[in-house]
Amino acid sequence: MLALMAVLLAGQFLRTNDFFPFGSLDQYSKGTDPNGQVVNTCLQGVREGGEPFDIPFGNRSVGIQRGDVENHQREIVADPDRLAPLAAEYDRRHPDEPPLTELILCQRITHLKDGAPHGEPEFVEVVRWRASE
Amino acid sequence: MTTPAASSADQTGRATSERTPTGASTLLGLLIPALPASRITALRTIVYAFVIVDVLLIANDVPSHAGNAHYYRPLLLARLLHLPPVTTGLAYALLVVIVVACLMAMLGRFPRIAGMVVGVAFGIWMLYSQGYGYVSHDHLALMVAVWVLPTVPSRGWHDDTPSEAAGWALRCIQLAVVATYFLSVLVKWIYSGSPIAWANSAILAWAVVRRGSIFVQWTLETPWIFVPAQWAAVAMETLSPVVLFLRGKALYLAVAVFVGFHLTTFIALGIHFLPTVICWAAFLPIERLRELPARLRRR
Repeated sequence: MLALMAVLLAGQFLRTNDFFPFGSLDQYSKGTDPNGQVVNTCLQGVREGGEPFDIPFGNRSVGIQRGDVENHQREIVADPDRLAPLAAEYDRRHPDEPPLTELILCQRITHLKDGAPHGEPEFVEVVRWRASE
Repeated sequence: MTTPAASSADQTGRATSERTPTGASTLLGLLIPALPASRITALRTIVYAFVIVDVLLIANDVPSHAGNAHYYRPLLLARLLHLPPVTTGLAYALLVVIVVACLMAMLGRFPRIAGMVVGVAFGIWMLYSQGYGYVSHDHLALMVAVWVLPTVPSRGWHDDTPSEAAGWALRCIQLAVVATYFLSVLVKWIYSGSPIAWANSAILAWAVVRRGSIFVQWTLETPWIFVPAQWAAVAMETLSPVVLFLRGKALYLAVAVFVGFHLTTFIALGIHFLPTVICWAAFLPIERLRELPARLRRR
């Protein structure tokens, strides 16, 4: 009992989730600057000749959660093909629709002023995956 | 017929001792209290029923991770076990094993062996659920529960004999529940500079913008309510170890406050924390649930 408590405590100081289930209890632990910004990661799909449309994250959509993708953002930017399995899963779940030709990893950034949203969210394209011909 | 030992236990089932307590025995009594064996039988039913719900409805992302091999980032235990990226076949095999073993443990069929199978299979399932980028912290107490429950000998719903094996398992789960809250204050300190900085930040505004339900969008128009709510949350988490020493109505009230907190975050943000909420049952005299069928029949 005491050994596991020690591992749990070490997980906190080492800031690691690697010790799951005894990792860092870090959800919602980083205070947000009341005059900072809120980054909302998003996905948009494009079909042949069409306009971009929002696609939700999740098992029943692209097969993965938003948090998983956010924690891989650097790798995805370096290699946009990492979005291919997400597009494939989305197409598999929408067999009656034309396949996605592009999948965009995006952010809607809300700026805060005195702890409240200020102005319209800013849309930022992070990276775009294009289906190979 | 064996006489139930309920009379030797107080309102929450704590066995009373006639010996004069020493420092060591008091500490042991705190860490390994003698609690009714039947409480473990009740907790097995609740925990294993919930694990079925968990793998089917909550941590149900393992089969879909079969298509995300590039995202696999194995956690320490997964690396020690040399777990490869999950496949569809492996995911559904694990699912069947977990559900069958949980049903056996709930129905009292070889509950310790079935519990060990759940401990291993559900452990691997969760390493897959959490091994693709995002690691949540609502499963700490539930993982402890599935790992300690098989250590307790199987007794019936009506065997209230004070048991230190039962008390140890229940105390482990209780400590995990409390640690989930109390250590999160420490982490706020580490990541935000201090709990005060966290409580004065815009963390709730951040959460509402990212995932607020239709019921709380109005709060973004009145952001002054966030800071008192954040102070209340950090105070509740800081005081959480107190529940380890509460008894009777004070304990019920404390459990209601924590469960109410999770109900609020569920309505506001869609964050239910159910794997931890279920483990609050380890604080309560849940063996009394055996009286429920008779009460319902009388009505």
